[in-house]
Amino acid sequence: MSEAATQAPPLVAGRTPEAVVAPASLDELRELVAERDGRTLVPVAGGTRLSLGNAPREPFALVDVRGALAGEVEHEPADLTAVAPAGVTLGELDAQLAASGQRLPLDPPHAEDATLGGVLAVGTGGPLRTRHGLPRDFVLGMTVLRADGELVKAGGRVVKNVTGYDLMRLWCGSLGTIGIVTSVAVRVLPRVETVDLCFEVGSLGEGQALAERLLRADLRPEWLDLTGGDGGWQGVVRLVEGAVPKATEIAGADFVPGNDDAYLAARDLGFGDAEALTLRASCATSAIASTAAALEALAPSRMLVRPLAREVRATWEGDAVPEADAVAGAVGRLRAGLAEGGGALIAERIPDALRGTLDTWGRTANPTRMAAVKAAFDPDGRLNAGRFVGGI
Amino acid sequence: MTANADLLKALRDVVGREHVLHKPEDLLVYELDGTFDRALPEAVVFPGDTEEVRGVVRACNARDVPVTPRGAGTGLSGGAVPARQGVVLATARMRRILDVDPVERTAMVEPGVPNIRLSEVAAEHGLFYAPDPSSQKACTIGGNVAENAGGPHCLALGVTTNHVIGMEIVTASGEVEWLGSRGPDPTGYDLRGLFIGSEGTLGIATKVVVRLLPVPETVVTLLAIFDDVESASETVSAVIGAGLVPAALEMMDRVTLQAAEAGLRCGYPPDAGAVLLVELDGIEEVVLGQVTQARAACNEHGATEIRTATEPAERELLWKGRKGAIGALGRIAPNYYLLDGVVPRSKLVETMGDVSRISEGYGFPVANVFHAGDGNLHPCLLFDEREEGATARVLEAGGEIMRVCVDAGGALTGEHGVGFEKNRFMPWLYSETDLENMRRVRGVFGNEGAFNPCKVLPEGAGCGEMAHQKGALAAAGPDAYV
Amino acid sequence: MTGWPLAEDAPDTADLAKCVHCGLCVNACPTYAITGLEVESPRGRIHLARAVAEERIPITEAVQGHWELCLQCRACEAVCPSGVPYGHIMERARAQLDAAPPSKGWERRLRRFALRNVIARPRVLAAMLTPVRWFARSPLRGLVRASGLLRFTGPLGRLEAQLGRPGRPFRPRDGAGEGEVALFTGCVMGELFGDVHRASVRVLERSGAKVFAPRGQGCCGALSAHDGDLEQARRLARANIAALEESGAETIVVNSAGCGAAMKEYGELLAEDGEFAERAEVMATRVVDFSEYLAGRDLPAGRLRGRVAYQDACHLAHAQGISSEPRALLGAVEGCELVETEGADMCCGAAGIYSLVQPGMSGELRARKAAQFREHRPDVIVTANPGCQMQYEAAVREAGIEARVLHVAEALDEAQDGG
Repeated sequence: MSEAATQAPPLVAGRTPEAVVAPASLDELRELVAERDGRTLVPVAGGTRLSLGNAPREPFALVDVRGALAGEVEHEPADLTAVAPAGVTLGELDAQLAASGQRLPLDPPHAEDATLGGVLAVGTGGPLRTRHGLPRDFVLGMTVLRADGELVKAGGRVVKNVTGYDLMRLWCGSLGTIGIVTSVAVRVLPRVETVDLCFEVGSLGEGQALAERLLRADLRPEWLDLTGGDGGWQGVVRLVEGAVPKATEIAGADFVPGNDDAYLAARDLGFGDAEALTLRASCATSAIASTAAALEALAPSRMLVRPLAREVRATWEGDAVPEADAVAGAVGRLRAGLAEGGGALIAERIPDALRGTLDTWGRTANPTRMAAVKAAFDPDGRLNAGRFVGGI
Repeated sequence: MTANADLLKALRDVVGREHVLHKPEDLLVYELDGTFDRALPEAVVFPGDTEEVRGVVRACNARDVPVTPRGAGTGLSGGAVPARQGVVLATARMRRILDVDPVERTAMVEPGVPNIRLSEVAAEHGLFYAPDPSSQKACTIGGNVAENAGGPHCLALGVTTNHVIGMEIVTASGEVEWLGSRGPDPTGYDLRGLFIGSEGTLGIATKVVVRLLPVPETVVTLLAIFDDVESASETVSAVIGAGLVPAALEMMDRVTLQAAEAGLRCGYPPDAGAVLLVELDGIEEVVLGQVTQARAACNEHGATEIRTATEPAERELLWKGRKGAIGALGRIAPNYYLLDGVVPRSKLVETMGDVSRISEGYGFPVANVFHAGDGNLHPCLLFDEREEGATARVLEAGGEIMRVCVDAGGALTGEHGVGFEKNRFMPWLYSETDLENMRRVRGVFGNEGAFNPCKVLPEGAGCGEMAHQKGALAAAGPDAYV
Repeated sequence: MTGWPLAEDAPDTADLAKCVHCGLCVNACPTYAITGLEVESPRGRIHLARAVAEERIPITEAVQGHWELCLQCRACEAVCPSGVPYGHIMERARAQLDAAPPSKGWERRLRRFALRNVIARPRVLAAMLTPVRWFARSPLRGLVRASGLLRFTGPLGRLEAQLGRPGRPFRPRDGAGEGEVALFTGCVMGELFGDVHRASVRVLERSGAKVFAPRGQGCCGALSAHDGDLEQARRLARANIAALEESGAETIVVNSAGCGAAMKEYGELLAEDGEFAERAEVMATRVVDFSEYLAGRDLPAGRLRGRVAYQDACHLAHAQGISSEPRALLGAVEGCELVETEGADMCCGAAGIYSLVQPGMSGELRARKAAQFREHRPDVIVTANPGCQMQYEAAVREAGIEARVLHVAEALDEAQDGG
């Protein structure tokens, strides 16, 4: 195990880790986790989402799990399944699946560098969630390193399975607070030939209506995003080839072929190199317009609405980041309003200037239950303590 | 006051006298669900709303009386059987549809609403509810949530957990809480996902919010007839290999076909060895191309006949044999034991060979119906329960078949649940540590062991007595009732 | 091992064993729909029967209550995947009640007396129903209704509410003659629904059939069988078989769903009945329902304006599997707008004499129909069984709508007659 930091370690929510450790094997990682040395462990692999969450309880050590969770992917094309070590990046995984004409339609920001384990721990989707849902919807089984160093599994490797509690869903999106994902069985899909089409709409409402028409006409868009703000709204939709003529007829908008840039821009919106504030709201369809308007009032650098996934994302880069008070006020109001309709707002990236005035998660409806989950699987707060909802 | 009288009084105080059953002959009817295991409750109670559910759970907890939730009692793993007696909490009075929202494409219903009602009420908005278990005309949404129910059409659309976005629950300890929400990404742990499929051991859903989908524009059903299961299975692989994910991909073997033909007159040729049903949906432009691909796959692998239907009535006809298949087995044998196992799709044929070897060894004919697309097998062992020891032997054979599924890299259940039927097999799949880890979630919801006891996980004390009764169809003698 | 007091008419163990308690029947059951109780569901009633057979319980008062609340509509049979012959099980289970401790003994004895001595005796029945017909058409009826007195008369008031305006009776001698097609006239049907019989004859004749009503026929026996009085049911069946054989008819058209279902099952009813067993089998094959008979024949098109709500008669839809035929016949009529109401195939609560002996449950089911009628506002309600027609008369009044209640035969006759 190497504990040498040759360069300055990355900060986690503005805090400096006491150490960076990189266990070379799963056994080493188990030993490390099982130790009770009073440090909080913050696992990191691809590092694409290290900025997510509140500050970890100090002292904490960053644990680079890539070495410990490396390995071979077992892909079974005939079964449409794959079992992969959590340390594999989505980029690597996709290359291997592509060889058999298959794919795992998960595309969070910087997907090519993000590891499977990390993506599941964070749990958020990308553009393709419009059609395919969230990472948790692809998980068939998981093995997890629990906070006491035990490896535990749930689920299996078959595509339909209700044997035992669905702990996979609990682990997905838990930000590594109740275990470190070590191995994952996923369901995969055949690749399909698709076309990206761009269009202009006069307003957000018009774009939403167009999305609804496409959906209702059973055109099954793989991805549909609306971006814009003051200068009007642009849309982009990804469809299977055969659906294009009908979509063109139904949309009532002029479709122009798109390119990869549009896709990458939408996928990584809010996750550029510059310091940024990035907020993501998820809400009822009927609340999209008002949510977008509230965020627009803070003059974001860029904004994106994923209407069929009912997601609104806004980002402020560099100097565009508003005053802390303005952000806190707007976020507080939005969270209160969204909570009523079952929505939520998460601060996916918080610039240092706003740390301390802005909570990443907001409130949950189930604080006691969530604390009980944490207590059941990591009673000592060994893993990522402090970073998740309500400081668990 | 005896313990029982005290319990009855407490329950009546919560729900009213007319909503508590206690006569021995009335309780008898609630001793079983859709499978063999049975145990008599001390009372059956019918709460009318969340508050009453909470009151019942609390009254029982205070007296250390086990509570077992029950929907329509169509479950196939003994989930609604009150394994340690106590109180059966039935949701039959909670069957209101609270709202259908065409803009959000959601509906909120009470747990006792039958699955089919959702699609019926959604239809007027051009929407439907996707999971369609074979018992959908009877089974309830509450039960579907408990079992994470699937159905023939979950191949492309997923099972209950993909379509239930939130619910109000009363926990095992009697607290009311919402899990999930109407919004897509509630913050924090996915407690909703954990609760779905927990087989009523963590609590009981009292309101359920489901996602509704637009009704497909075009649906085409293909029925292909083959000489043997091998050719049909190869066709399945070819369909998948061609990059298609059909809405449904179902197979029936020779024994099943003969029963279906005898009972339902589906027009299958007498020498048909296997039938494959392929359903494709979407917009016409896309579907027609897929149909051509699927037909080609069938032809290439020796289909002797392919029937195609697009109109609802014609499609219904093609589905008739499949939907009525299991019941039609009643025409060729007095009883059947319907199993539910999963193997990797590519191991289907091999596993079926093992299944017939085992059933032959026990002297039971076997009929196979399965969701070929996802490797979910439903072997049906045919027997006559009136023969001495037949039920015990059929259960033993079932256990061996489960073992074969596990050894093939599969699972114990694809959609029926573990329940009380298979919990003793859980160690085949999971280590002691895995099982102990799963048990922890019960504590999270305050289940001290009295909420739907003896289900999902293997249990020791208290459930042992029930366990050895399994399948013996034995119950207390007449003295217990008169 | 058996706990049945009357072993010879006990439910068949093999029939009981067929039920795998899958529960697919429960939602089809009207009494389950109303109560939500599995003891009031087919699965529950069968389970109780098994428990009795296995000597786990005696036939207690509660058990009797659950069996007696069954409408015997057989909706469960239609959805049962395993082919459990529920109707037979329930008839035989009820047959046991004679030997069970009499919970409602006097009521059952009175009922049985009426079924044996009034319904089954054409002359007595005619004598009793003639004043009823007279009353139903007299101005007195309006006065009685207005007085509100009927509220205090229990079953009589309920009967009154179900009465339409019966026309002249139609007894076998009114259709004497010979031909290939015999019309089955029944008991109450002939007395209170003579118009339906006359309409049936006209419609059948327009389809090219030579129709007559054989003498010597009488009550089909269904009411007795449902009540568990299998001995009486067999007696009536034998009499009908003899009379219908004698008539030389090749086809027996039945326009009462309940009678048709019972007659199609004469074979099973008389299976143990020596020389009659085979004759019953043969006779059963000759029985066809009115709509079933017409389904394949040429008919004058006809016109009938308005919204028509067809309501399935249970013993037509569930016991005989006939539900599309009457709809198709009505649908072919010009100007007829078929309205599908929710629960059209669920029992209306008439169920033979059920509406008299189980007024509470019967009323709940009728109220469901009334609510549907209020929502859909049909001009005409069409069904295929006399009991149902009577119940719908009451439901229409309850709904407070203006709608006529017709038998399929009457609707077609009216349409063919120029609408």
